[in-house]
Formats: sequence, C-alpha cells, structure tokens
Amino acid sequence: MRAYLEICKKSFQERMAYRGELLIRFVGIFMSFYLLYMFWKALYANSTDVQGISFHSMITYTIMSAIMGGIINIFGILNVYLAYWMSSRVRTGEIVMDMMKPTDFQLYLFSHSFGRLLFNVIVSVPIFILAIFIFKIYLPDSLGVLALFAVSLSMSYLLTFLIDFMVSLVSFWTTQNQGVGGFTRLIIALLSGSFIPLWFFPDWARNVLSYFPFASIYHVPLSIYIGKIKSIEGLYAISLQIIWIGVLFAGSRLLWLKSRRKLMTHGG
Amino acid sequence: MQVIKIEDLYKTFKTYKRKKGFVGSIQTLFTKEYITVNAVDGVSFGINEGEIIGYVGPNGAGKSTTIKMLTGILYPTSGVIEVCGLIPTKDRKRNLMHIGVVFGQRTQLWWDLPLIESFELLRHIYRVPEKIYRDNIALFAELLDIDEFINTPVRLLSLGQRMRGDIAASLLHNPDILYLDEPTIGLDVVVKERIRQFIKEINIERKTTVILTTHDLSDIEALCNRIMIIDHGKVIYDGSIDEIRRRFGTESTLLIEFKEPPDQLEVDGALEIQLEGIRASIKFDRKRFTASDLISEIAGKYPVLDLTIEDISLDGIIRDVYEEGKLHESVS
Repeated sequence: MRAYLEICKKSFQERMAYRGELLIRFVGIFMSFYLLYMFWKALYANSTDVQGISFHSMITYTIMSAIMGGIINIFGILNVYLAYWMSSRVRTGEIVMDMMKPTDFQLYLFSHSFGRLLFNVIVSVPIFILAIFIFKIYLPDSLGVLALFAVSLSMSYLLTFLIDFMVSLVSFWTTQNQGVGGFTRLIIALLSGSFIPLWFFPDWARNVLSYFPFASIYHVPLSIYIGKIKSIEGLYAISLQIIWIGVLFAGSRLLWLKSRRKLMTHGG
Repeated sequence: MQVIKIEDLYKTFKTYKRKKGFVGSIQTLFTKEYITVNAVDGVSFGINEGEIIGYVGPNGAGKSTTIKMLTGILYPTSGVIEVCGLIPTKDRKRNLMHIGVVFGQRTQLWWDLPLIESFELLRHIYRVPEKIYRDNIALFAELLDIDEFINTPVRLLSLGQRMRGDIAASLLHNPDILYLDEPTIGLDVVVKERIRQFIKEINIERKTTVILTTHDLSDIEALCNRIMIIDHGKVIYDGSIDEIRRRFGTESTLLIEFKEPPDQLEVDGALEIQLEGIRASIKFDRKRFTASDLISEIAGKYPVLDLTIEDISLDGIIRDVYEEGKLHESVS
C-alpha cells in the first residue's frame, strides 16, 4: 500500500513542477465561466424560472459543473487525461516502463490519477471562492447537503476513472484510441448533464439517461448541490453510483486481463 | 545454476498490410490483409547465474522482444520461459521483484522530478530495506557519481547522467538478473567506460546475471564471455567470443608502404589486393598463409618501406555472421 501512496505523492509533486502555467489556466477558466454565464442569461431573458429552476440555481449548476470537471480530470470536453496519456505511451512504446513495475497496473494508474486529483482540488479552491463573488454562485443549504455532495463527487471521480481506464485500454488493441476517446467525451458531455441539465430533456429521455453511468458523473452530484435532489432521493442516487462503480470495476478488470495479452510494442 | 531457461520460444505479431502513399493508405482502410511477423522464431537457450551474456543482432532481429517476454510484459505465442523457476507472465509481480531492466532509449525516471524522488519511489515499490537502500545510494555515488546530479530534475540531465541514473534505478533493489537493452546508446567514451566498469563490478560483487543487448561490440568485448547472435528471430550463434574469432575471424589485412610505386602487384595467396600509389592493402586468410610467408614473398619482389597487419574487428566478424545467416535463409 505504501508504494501506491508514494506514487500518489510523486504524481502530486509532478503537477506542482508546472505551477507557472496555472495563471494562464485561471484566466481561461474564468473566460469560459463568463461565456457560460452569458449563455444562460440569454436563455433566461424572459423568465425567472424554467422547469422550477431559477436563474441563480442554473448558474450555480453550470459553474459548479465546470469546476467539477477540472477536479475529476475532465477539462471541458477537450481532455480525458488517462486515455490521452495511455494512447501516447502505447504508440511510443513507453508503456513498457509502466508495466515493468511489480505493482497492480490499474492501482498504479489510479494512484497516479489520485495525485492529480489532490492537486486539482487545491487549485479549485481559489476558483470556487472567486466564483462565489463574481458569479454569485451559492453554497448548499446545509452541511448535510454539502457532505452528501462530497460523497457523490467522490463517486463521480471513481466512475470517471473507471470509464477513462477502460477507454485507455482500447489503445492496447488499436494503438490509437483518439476515436473512442473523442466519442466517450462527447457522450459524457451530452448525456451526463455537464452542459445541459437532464431536466431539460424530455421525460422519457431523462428516465432512460438517469440509469446510465454518465448521469451519475455530473447530474447526481450537481443536483444534490443545488438542492434539486433531496436527502432520501440523494442517497438513492448515490447507491446507483456505487452500483455502477461495482459493475465498471469488474468490467475494467476483465478488460485489463484481456488487453494485457494484446500489447504489441516495437523497437527499443 | 541455471537462472534463465528458454525453450522453443516463438512470438508472432500480426499487423495490417499497409500500402504505400496516399491512395495506398486509403486502400488499407478497406482491406484486411494481415502480415504475420515472426519476431522470435524458435529460440532456445539457458543462462547460468553470474554470467554476462552479449545478446546481439541487427535492428529488428528480436532482441528487445525476447527481453520483454522475459520480463512478463509480452506473452509468448508458444514455448517455455522460466526465470529463476518462475513463469514471467503468470508470476508477473514476483518475477519483476527480482529483475532489473534498463531500456536505453526509454527511462523509468520521473521526468519532472529530481532524480532522488524516483529512487525514493522505487524504494517503496520494491520494498527495499532502509539500510540496503542507503548502502546502494552510497555505492552508486562512488561508482557512477550520481551524487553530482541527484537533486536535479531528470529532464535537465544530460543523456549520460540520465543513463547512469536509470542504471542505478534498476539496481536499487539488488536484482538477481539485470537486463540491459542498449545501455550505452549515444554516450561518449568516458561515460561508456564508466558504465562498463560499473556493470563488471556489480557482476563480480553480487553475482548478478547480466543480459546485455547492444550494437556497440566494444561493450561486448569489454564485458561478456559469451555472445549470442540473433537474426530474423533465430539464434545463429551461441558461444564464446574467442570461438567466434577462431571460426570467423581468420581474415587479416596486410598494409604495405613501398619505397616507390610498383607498376603491378602480384601476390600468391592474396584474397584481395588494392594498390594506390605507394600504398597497398592485401587481404589474406590466416588459415592458409602466415603473415611472414606473405611478407617475405612481397619483400623479395618489391622494395618495402613499412608494413602493418590488421586483424578483422569483431564488428567485421559479426557483419560476416549476419550476412552468412541471411545466406542460410535464402537457401532454406
């Protein structure tokens, strides 16, 4: 276990090595927040309330969604970190160096990813505080809701990691996984409620989507945060997240065992 | 004691047949023609504890593929591999615990962090006891001077420093077997010599078995007593360096400088004669003629000013062996 903790620490330190570019990232993030703000302002121009959601709640949802994405390693729809990383490691053959460690490969990657997560959380704090002042996003109603949100967010992270891990394994079969990666990003962006909350979807679509793991990534924690999903309903949604984590974990182990045999590396 | 046993090892890759050019690349999308490549084609050998083996062969001969199978990363298509009694793909973690690997063209060090951080991490991954870890760091500082750059981020190291770091990293956990895949690639003579001395030292002190893949045959001459030559996935030679010299290195060259340029040079027993002004180079087979025979014959006919004898280098021998290997294949 100690080894994995150390990997996590090193991964965190590695992120710290490039803190210089953070400032530029901050500017970019707030520009995207502003765009999202203007977008929803235009849509809410003629009403104060859509589907029972106030403009204020909507902005909170949207900006929290963007902050969340930064935390769980999905930056907008542009970058799913692990899949991208793995694809380039497999293509160049560098992956050999990672597989050559006497560790569990998935846990090795998870520790790596978790180190980044910690870094992201720290970076997100000032972003969050600034967003409260600039865009007037609000805090959850009670500490209980905040705790529930935190649990749900952790589950989102695990789900994202597992999906990302499985997508990244595609590169063991095809060398490139950009196609699958792009497709997954699009699916997550559209069906998870990261941009457009699921309550804007038709009833049937919302019902179907709420059973998919994608909705568990964004829709569940964010709905808990703004108070759209309350206590018991929230616990129910979190248990669905946990079920999905179990299913995807089993699936990813199986896929890993199969993928290992598929690796082809040439040269060096 | 045999630490590595390989019997009848095969590794076949299947790849799409790719056509050339722009139109070809579009055609490739719609066809499903496979080519199978026999990267390792029926290899068998055994390696004893404490040996240093030179594993050589031209690019794409199957050297790295063999090593990757020995580490358990690649699955053999068929055949038996045992490393210290373990099957690498089945006992992946246990096997990896007692081997060290350096791929000269890659690094296992964390690019953005100081070298020491990578060492610290490896200490935990391999569960190296504190004392052994500290002794090793001290040893590597003494023999490889890693203390000079141990606090520098890896991305700022020179190639020679990085390679020394990588070799040290692979030996932190006192592995029984060390796989070195082109550890001296692109290094200057001083660093090369450093690394050779170090490998020798480790081999003697710890009885570490070393498998060395390289294109630099001076590495092999300096370190190995046994050499295996692989080409097109097959072992075409396995034996001592002395033996290979005896068998293939019988060609010598006599370089002569004359007082005045001879109009014509005729030497009985020469394989090849090149004459340029007052200088001539004459190739001959040492099995059939001695150098003194040749010299007395030439000196009798022409006025000689100076002469030297050059033996064929190991490079030349290996080149001949590669070519002979290809010859075998085109016949069979």
